[in-house]
Amino acid sequence: MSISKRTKRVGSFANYALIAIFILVTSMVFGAGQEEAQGMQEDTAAIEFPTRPVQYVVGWSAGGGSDIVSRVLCAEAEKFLGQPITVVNHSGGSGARSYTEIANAPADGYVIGNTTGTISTHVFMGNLDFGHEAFVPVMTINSDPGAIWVKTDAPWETLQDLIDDLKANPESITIASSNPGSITRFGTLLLEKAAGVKFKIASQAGGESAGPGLVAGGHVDACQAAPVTAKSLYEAGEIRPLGVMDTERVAAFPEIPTYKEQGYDITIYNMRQIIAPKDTPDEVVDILYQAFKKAANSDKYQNFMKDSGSTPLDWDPEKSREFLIEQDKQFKQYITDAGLLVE
Amino acid sequence: MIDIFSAFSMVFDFQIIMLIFGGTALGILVGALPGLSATMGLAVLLPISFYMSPIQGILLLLGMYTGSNYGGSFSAILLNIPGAPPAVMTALDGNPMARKGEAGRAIVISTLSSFLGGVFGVLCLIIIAPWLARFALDFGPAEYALLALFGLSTIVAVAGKSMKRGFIGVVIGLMLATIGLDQFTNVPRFTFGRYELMSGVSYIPLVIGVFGLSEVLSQILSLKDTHVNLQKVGSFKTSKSDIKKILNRFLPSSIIGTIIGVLPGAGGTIASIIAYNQSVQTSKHPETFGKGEPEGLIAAESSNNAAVGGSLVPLLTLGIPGSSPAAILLGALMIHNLRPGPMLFLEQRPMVNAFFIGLMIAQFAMVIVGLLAARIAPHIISAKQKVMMPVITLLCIIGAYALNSSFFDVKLMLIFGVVGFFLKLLGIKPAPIVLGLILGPMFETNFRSALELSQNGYLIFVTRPISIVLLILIALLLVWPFIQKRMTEKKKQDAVSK
Repeated sequence: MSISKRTKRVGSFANYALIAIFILVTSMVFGAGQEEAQGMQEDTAAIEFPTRPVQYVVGWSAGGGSDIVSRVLCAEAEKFLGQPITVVNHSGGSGARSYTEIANAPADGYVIGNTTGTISTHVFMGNLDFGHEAFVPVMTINSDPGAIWVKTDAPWETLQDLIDDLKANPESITIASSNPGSITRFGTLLLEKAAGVKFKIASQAGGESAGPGLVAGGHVDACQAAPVTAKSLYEAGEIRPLGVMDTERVAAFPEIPTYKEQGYDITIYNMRQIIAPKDTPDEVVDILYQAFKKAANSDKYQNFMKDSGSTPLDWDPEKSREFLIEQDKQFKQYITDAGLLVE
Repeated sequence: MIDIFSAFSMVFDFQIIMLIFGGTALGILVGALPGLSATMGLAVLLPISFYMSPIQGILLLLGMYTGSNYGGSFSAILLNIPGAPPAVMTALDGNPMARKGEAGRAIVISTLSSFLGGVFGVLCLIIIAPWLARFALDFGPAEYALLALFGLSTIVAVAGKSMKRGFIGVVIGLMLATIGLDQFTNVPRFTFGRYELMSGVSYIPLVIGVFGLSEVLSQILSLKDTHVNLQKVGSFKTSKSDIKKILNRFLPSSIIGTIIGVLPGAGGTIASIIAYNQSVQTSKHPETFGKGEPEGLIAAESSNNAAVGGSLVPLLTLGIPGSSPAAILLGALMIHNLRPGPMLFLEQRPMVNAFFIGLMIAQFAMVIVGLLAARIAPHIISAKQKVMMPVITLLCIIGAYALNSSFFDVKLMLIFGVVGFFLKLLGIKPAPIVLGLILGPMFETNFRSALELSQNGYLIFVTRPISIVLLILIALLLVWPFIQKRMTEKKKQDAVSK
């Protein structure tokens, strides 16, 4: 008898436990949404911002480049903003999902997010019907220039060596690059055009992140990847750079010469901006900008950027917009050249 | 030597030990809840770890990583919903054991196997990390493509009685895998103009749908059939023969788990698929697998936990994150000014040793928390069904939503649940479908990457040493069941003629 009673009690305990777990999880998952709903009723005319947590949408999965940069930056910025910044990952379609969500969010500064160079490619390739004009840039947060890498024991010492070899033996060098229409691929095509050479281009799924490993393992001769991506294998002594596609040398790697120094005037970057929906009031954008600017200049963010090999920036909304307009022009041309333009 | 002592003194601090235990326990909870993944758990803890010392922060995250990989086995065994993708293979034998009233025994076996596998992985990490790292670099797209094919061939082991139905399941999974932007040309495939489908069907809604919701549906329809649901909780005592079985079988699975774990992009899920298959192939009684065979459970759990140590090899020695949880750890290391790579081992030896010791403690934390939970958790399935079914349904919905905070994933999950239920009626099991969806993209992208490298020459698949080994393994795998059948028939004939 006692056994059955005990089982019964344990059974009802289990019932309660299940319900408790359920409530816990529900509140965790839906908590953020409720806060949003409550805040909606507030009057947005008086600029008292922020009075509740700000949601920051990362359009790439947790652990990726955009995610880590954003989390480090937001952890600093919330100190200056006075309200928590909740980072959520709404990944899908190389940012297409988060762009759509932010563009359609209420323009009150409570939903913001970040871009990559894809903000200037989706619209021209027919994946989205809007570009950066659907947003107001808050700040440009960092820049990753393209660079070219070869195996440490490769015969080429400079970019010119590689080009000369290619000229003598056309299509003898295999370079790992991303798919057509990607920023990485643009860099490779620009070099081909400027030097009048042809690589054997091997498109790799997973974009430029796969490249350095393939070079180190001897699967390809060269790859194009940002220093931030190639850094670990470079420091491990497996691969070395021949040049970086920036106007000046990257602060984290002062030893890498630029393409320009070597006679090829090519620059290409992947830049990230923080964006808000386009009608967000200027005052709100400015409050956000001031907080993120302080965060971008904090020791933590600066050191993190330096260690990861990326270049930290704190461009204001105006400068960011100018850059985006320029980037649109540039990328549209590349996409047209690649025959991928969708009007 | 001094390094080791200073490392011990760094770790053996009350606060740090508590952080490791806390991280591991939290990880087990995250792993056990369907939809909450190791990656999400780590991403949430990451900003918290900024405010700690490097050793505290990293060990908290390592605890979370260890725990979440193991936690998925709870929901797989008790509810037949793999809480995390690596637990898909755990559900195959774990849940049938629970149904037989051996939930407690299943959890104890899974916990001990996880522990041994985890310890093995960490030992490999400590001893042969630099050598293993080179091996990871030797793996090119051609090798990965063949590894995926090898994984797909294990359908022989998972299909159960009907190979035909197994194949149908895999093909459904492979077809789902074609949805999304083509990774090479950016052309949308079967996305029906929806941006949610641009990055493809993620396997979390599929796993939750075909395992979880379809299970709920079939339970509801057989509501009168109460003996399945009102099961005994089972004894927690593990017999000596169980322990012996674990000790006999964990080693090959742990070796497989570590090796696959080292390969960037492969990870615990694929490790457990291959180890499970190996276990079936070498077993004297392959017919018992999938029906509650403890050896299947041992293979699945020891391999996916061994993969944790394995995945840290390329991360720490080369700075290559082999999985998305490892990518977050990479970020965490860098925030604390620790640059992974050979220099880390030279410059920060005590710190690296401290990580290893902490990781070892996390294994013990896992086994202690796991065995404690084994006493309470099985009671969940003794809860009344009218409480259980709605709660599981809601957990399914929340789990699918939590992945991307998207109701689209919830809809997908519901569709998969209903479809999975009907497929189950036709005898098509959920595991092969999930297998197809996980391995399909891995095969496709690497196959095409390899052809890009060779400029469309197929010789790339047969001219490299690792490829040849993999090809031979695939051939053996596919032919072996026929040889085995022939042999047993011959034996029977011999016995008859004698």
